[in-house]
Amino acid sequence: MKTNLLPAYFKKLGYISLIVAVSAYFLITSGLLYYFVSPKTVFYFKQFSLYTFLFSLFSIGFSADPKGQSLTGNKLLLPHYFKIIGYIFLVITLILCILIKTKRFNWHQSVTTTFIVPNVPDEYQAEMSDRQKKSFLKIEDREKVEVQSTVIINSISLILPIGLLFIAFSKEKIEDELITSYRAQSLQLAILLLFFLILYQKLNVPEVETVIVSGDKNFGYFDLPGRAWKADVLINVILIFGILKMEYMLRIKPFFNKTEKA
Amino acid sequence: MKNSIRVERAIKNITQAELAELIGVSRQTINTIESNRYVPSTVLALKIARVFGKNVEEIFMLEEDD
Repeated sequence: MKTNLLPAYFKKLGYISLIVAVSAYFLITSGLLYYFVSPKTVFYFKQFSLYTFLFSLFSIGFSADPKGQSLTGNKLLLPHYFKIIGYIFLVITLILCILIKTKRFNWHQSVTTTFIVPNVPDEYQAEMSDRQKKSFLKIEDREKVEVQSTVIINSISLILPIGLLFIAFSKEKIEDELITSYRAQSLQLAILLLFFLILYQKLNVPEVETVIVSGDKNFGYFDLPGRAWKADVLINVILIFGILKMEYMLRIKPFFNKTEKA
Repeated sequence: MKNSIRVERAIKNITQAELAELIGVSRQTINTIESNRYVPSTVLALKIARVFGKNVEEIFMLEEDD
């Protein structure tokens, strides 16, 4: 079924609004915007970015294809010029990376939500040792117990995918079926690498590290996030691997074949 | 599967790049097809045959182990 609700020029409009939305997202998430405007304005910027992104998805998805779309045309791919935009984003991200490493610019954000722990039901209290019960009742009587859930936002790992996604998802100059098959191959290999990375980390790298403080009368512990790579870092690794594999097959491998022949 | 694109190109006296431009693919695609590293789709095979003005079977042939 063809979904051509909108005329073809909406596709171009969609691509432009995608660039605008992503630039706004870049400014917000990198923390650059906080240097220039108040947090309230940043909130409106967030809303603007979200709605522009939704509009671009809608207008790219539901507009008519320009004529001459080949049979192997992939609806998910962006035009070739997005590759250049992707490299521009990548360079800006790398500059930010260097600035953060040299402490010239620093911004990080964490979102914390607080819950009050509910009372422990009687049947669980029955299983407690006397000492635990004593300390629990002590807490219940006098002190507040809280559980905090925290979202850690690492700005670099969230803005790096912009450039990488644009490079990975833009068409080549001549997008033919060989490139389609190369794309599938590099994605397959990237998924395989992702699996082994996760498997390795699951077995070897701690996900939670607990600091236990104990004395003669007191006992306490708190959890820290482990060193295991989170999903936002993993997606960057996979995208970089996919792009490198693709570049190798498209540009480096043919070079070797040419020298073989000569 | 083997093919006679290299021979047909020599007869018509065109380069890989020129053939690629005629059927709207990259030069690398023609190169990989000629060196039997990639099997083209039916659409692409028909386009190549049309450039040389021959049937597809005259350019692409099955081998015994196919």
